[in-house]
Amino acid sequence: MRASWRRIGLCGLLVAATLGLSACSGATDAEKRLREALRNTEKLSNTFLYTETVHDKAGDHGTDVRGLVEDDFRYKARVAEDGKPVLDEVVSDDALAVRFLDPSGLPRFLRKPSKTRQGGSGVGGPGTGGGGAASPEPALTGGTPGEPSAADLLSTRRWVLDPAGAPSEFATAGTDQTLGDDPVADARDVFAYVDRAINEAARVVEYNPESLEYRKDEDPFPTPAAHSGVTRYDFERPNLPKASQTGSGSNQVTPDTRHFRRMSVYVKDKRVIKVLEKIDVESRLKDLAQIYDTKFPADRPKPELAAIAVEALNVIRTGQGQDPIRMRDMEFSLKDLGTDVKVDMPTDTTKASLALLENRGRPADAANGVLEAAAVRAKAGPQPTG
Amino acid sequence: MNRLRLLGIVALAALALAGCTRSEASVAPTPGKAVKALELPNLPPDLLGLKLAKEDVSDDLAKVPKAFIDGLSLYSLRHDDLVMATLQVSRFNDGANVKAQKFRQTVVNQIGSSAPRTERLGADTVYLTTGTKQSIAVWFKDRYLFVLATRADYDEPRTLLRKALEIKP
Repeated sequence: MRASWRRIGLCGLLVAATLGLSACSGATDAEKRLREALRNTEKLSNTFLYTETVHDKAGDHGTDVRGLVEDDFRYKARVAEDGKPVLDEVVSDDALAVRFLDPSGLPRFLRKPSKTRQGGSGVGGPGTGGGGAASPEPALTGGTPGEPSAADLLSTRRWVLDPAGAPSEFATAGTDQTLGDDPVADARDVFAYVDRAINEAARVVEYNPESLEYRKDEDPFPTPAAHSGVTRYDFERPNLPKASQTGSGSNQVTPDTRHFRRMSVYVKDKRVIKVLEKIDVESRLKDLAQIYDTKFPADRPKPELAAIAVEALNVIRTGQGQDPIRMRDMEFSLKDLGTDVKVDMPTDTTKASLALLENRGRPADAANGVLEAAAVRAKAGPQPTG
Repeated sequence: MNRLRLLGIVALAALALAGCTRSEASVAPTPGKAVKALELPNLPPDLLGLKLAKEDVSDDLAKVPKAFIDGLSLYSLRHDDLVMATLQVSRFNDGANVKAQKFRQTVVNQIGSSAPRTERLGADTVYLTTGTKQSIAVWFKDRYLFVLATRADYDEPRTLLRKALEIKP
């Protein structure tokens, strides 16, 4: 009898130990392989296509960025909104050339009043902003009497060249850039974004339809073709936080993008060839209803309910100073990896300061840029929000 | 000169501390006083219109008890009389495991005041960080370490960096 109790006790101990170990969140082999593929790929020249479809109460909005990257300081990109080309941008070291193929798209890219300190060119980023006293070249005001301003030039679809206006950097811990503010920066930042998504995922696993956890009905992404040599890495999302859970302060922990993210990264020959992401709120509506003790109307379509739920969550999140959840589908495809890609600046340009555009122009021109951007906004009239 | 010292001193400190990663070093660190001035025969007279001039840092070096370099030179890059940037070129001694990524990362992590970002420029890997009102770029070439510190308000830091990358020790 005593031996039997001892055996039961031992079994209990083993179960407890196993449960304890399951809580360890070390990197999986799949995660290590994926990170290695990311590091291998980000070093390479490439052509890319970044597609984002945002879902909100007003419907779906699509943004495409296609371009080529010679290296981290030389790239060109074309932005299209709902299929219509809007912006061309070419960066070559410090120089930035921009033209608006559709000048009505200009307001989205205008400098916001709160970001006067964040200029453009500078290898280090936002901490490096300073005055313009040491510049060997005179400042480009873009508003010199008798000369057209950057806003005038951009409104007539012409190329504007700012020799020192290249964007300073892309979203890092040190910047306050929000996803969607600048689609070119978002497209250029995908590798860092995937890195953060790995950190935020519950686990990264290699795609395996035989796995006990895999559910085909919840998989929104295509399966790699047989014998294609493509490996797919799937990100498992964490469970939603409880309504009673509080963070480091007294604030309630609100669901984050990570709780809704489905992401898969496709790798071939140890290089990333595609990233797919779906911020999937619909599949967690039931969980949200339970956690927040609420009921969603049964007669409304799920996409509409998801948009309503995200809007409600974003009210709390923005009130807490957090980025809103962006309900989106994103696809990032890479081609021509490591090939001889060259970025040439356009020749038919007019020099002016591009500081009226967000995260562009010399830091010393940022204050003028805010004024110029405000003038363009005033001229354009009220803009739709969001 | 104060400004110049401020631009240059960040890398000197890092080189002194870099030794902490070399517990398995088979060669002893070099005392600061024994670090020689490097001669770079291929150095152009100017970079992007900024005049290159060699600066004397022997006093600063003498204060470093031990370093993993055996040669160093500091150059100022001036527009008229104003220092727009400094370029420090250092040669690691035989005890430094220069090819090890861990060693390089440790060196880079001790330069500047922000987490370094890795960027690719052509075939080169460059680590970017910031200091007080300055942008700092760090790269390795064979046994040499290059540190380019540029004033934050200089308009062409990337073009200057691209030019500096062409320098062969």
